[in-house]
Amino acid sequence: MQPCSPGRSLSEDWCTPWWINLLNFGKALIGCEKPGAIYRHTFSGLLTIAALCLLVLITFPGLVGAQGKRRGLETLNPSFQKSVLRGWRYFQTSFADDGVACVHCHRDHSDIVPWAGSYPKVQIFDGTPYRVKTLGMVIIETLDTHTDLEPSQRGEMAEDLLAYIAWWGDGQPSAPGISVNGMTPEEDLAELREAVSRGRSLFNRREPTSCINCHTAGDQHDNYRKSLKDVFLGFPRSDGTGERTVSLDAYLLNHYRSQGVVMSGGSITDIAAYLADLSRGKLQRPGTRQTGGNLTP
Amino acid sequence: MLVLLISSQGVHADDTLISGTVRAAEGGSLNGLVMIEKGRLYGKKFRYGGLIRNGIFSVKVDGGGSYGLHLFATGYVYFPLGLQVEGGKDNRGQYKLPPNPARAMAPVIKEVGFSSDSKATRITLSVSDPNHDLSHQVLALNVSTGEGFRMSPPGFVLPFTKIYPEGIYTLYSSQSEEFDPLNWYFVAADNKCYNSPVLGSPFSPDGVVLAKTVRSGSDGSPSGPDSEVNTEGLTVSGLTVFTNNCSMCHLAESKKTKVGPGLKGLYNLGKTPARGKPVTDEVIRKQILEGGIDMPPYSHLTEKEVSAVVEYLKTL
Repeated sequence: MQPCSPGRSLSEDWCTPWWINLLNFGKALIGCEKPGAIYRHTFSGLLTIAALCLLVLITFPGLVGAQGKRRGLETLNPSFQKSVLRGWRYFQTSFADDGVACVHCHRDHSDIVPWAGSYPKVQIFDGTPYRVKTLGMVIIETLDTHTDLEPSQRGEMAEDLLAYIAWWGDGQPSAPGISVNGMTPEEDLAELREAVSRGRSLFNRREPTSCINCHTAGDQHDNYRKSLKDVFLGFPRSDGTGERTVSLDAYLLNHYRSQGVVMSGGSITDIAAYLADLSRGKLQRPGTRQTGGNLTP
Repeated sequence: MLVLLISSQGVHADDTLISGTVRAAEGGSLNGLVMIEKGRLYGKKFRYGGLIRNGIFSVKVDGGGSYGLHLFATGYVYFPLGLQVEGGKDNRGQYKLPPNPARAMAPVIKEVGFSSDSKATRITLSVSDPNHDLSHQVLALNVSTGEGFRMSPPGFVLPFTKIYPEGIYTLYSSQSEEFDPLNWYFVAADNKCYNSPVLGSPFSPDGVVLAKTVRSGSDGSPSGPDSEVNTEGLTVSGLTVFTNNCSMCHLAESKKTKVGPGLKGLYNLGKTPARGKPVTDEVIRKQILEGGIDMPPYSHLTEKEVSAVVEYLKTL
């Protein structure tokens, strides 16, 4: 350990590794060093503690109440805001003969808050397949059951409803696969793990059009590849027109298509599950990014 | 209450239980029926069941694992949920059912019949569904044994059929002890999560039953949107508009913030709670139609609806 001498300047102290500063400050506080040492170490020690606190707050904003802090409608970027507002209206409008809208059964918005962060997951309705689904797929299934709309009318509506639900989950941690009461069936979690595993394989496979050629899944970008580690948290995102948003499903589908690859719905879900798993526990911030013209994440 | 309920059913400390509380979305505990599938949700393997009394249920199941939970109350949308249950424990949850917004579209059990011979009792339900979207969930519960059953549909139905036929559903009960129809309860659900009234069965000596509905409210009174307001005119319409459009963000009975500020006594405040503008019809109408400060515009409301909800706000 580098000793701290009376003749050393603050700048020298500042250059000392942070953990030595902290150790010296602690030693001075509990009296392990001779009287007066505490004054020499106070500035650098407190500075180190402050820096560490700042680092923790930046890394885990949930600790200071950022979790649950949804951004106000008026602060959203214009296309995301428009999509959220359209979704809001659809949520409250019936598109069926029986006059029933989403809001009639989902009256309490506190129930909606965890939805966006809990997908992809196994979500089964009576008569629907038992498999991992994205929130977009579940919205389409719901529109199929509860509205009289033609399939061609549901696509854009589903994107807007997704934006609306995602906005309610803004600031909430991503927890794919977890059901609302926490008692998620083990079979469902196993199904999700398999989807994540398939997604990882697809991401990493060695082919000319594979994700791994242009992207990493780690923390770092490198010279050629951009990290997709937290890309999931920003969806749905603006489609660049200033009017609409695009879900991760639709984005991936179009992105692959632009590379000349046709992906099945199942593969898209697997990749979405993998990307969601990479950002597990982090706070969602939908609509914060805009899709570029080349559809590159 | 829960302890009493469990002890009366002879439950031991190391039994595996699925239990919980069931409340109406608008508040208040419910009566109804809980049916439980062994295995994954919608696996169609109903094995257990019990009654929800005063918002509480507790059902004994055979060990831990995956189960499908279905909660039914008359006049409410039914609630399905997959559960991972820990063996030897009481697995409790809290559940909330929204009132059925389209009660006229819910399945109907028109008639319940019992006929016995020396070996078994045949139970029949005549089931119809106004929107012709009946699911496989035509269910029966024997409260004396805690067993739940899915009744057999009329005719042949393919395994992956989504819409089940209307008509006579059948169940044979071959229990050895004396058959007591008073122990049986029935419910039917469609694919939109609408369910029939939960039926108990006071019946006539000839075996034909005009089933009695198990009422939802804990006090035995029917509850739900139909019985909430008895006044007429603009206030009723305004309440409906408020319930369907505003109540998810604004409380009517309090000034506390839900998502937006509570609106109790709005017209006595002098200024609007968020923007501090004078409370006049014009300002309120503008706020509704144009939104602002995290409130979306409700420009899709008709002139009549806006007037109705403004009049309703004056009554708070």
